[in-house]
Amino acid sequence: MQDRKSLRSITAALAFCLAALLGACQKGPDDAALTTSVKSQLSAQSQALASMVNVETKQGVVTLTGTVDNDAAKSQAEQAAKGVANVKSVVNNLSVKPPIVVSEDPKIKSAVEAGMTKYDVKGVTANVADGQVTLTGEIPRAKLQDAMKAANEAGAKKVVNQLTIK
Amino acid sequence: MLRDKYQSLIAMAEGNGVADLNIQEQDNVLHIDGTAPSEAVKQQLWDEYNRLDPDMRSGDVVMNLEVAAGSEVFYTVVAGDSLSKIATKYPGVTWQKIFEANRDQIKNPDLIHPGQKLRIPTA
Repeated sequence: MQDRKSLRSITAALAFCLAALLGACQKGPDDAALTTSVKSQLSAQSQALASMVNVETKQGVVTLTGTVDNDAAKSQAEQAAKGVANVKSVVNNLSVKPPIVVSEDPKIKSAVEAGMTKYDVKGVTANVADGQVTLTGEIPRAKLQDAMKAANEAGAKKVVNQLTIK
Repeated sequence: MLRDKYQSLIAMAEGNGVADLNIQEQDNVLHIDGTAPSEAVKQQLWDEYNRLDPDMRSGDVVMNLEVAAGSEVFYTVVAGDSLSKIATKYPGVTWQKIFEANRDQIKNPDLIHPGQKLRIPTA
């Protein structure tokens, strides 16, 4: 009788432990599912962004790590994660690459001109303002890439092609 | 994201040994900087960019690729070749540059011989 009683209480204790253990384990699958949801939300917005951001979830708190191109991408990733249901909060530990240094206008201008000589491009005018190169003039299609190479290899922040392609 | 638009170009740069590759979107322009292992790889990337943007008018890419020093290319002269004809095979290279790079074996730029191995300078 005594033995049976103790056996019963041991069984009850075991069952209780098992339930507690399962309860603890329950956290795991939930977090994993949240990580998956955040990742697919990122992918839906941009495959490239998703590939640069690591996602980790602990008890509903999502942590983002990795390196992205700029502040806009950093906050885009954060907003995407916050938009996922059941995410308690988002810790944004993403780092942003240092900005690309744009050359000064006169330096860009002379680099473009040197490039035009190097690639043997004629009849193209390059205007430079605020780091932006604007190409005007006429160009045979066969020389379009060469003109663009000259403008692209000058440390500009943007290249605008207004060439008439013949 | 511009990285998505130019995904194939980025994959090509990453898969073809471009050194010190930095790809970064800044002020709505995708900057692609690095050193291509050869003139051919650089040209391949430009052709891909040109394929994605046939008239190159989007104004959303600045691709500045150098070509690795010492990545010398040689060309073997065949019958009917001239320096200017050979130069057309290498974008950005003029016949004068090929002549300059081969002064040791070319005395007269109008006179080259089949079988000669000419050094092709980087553009």
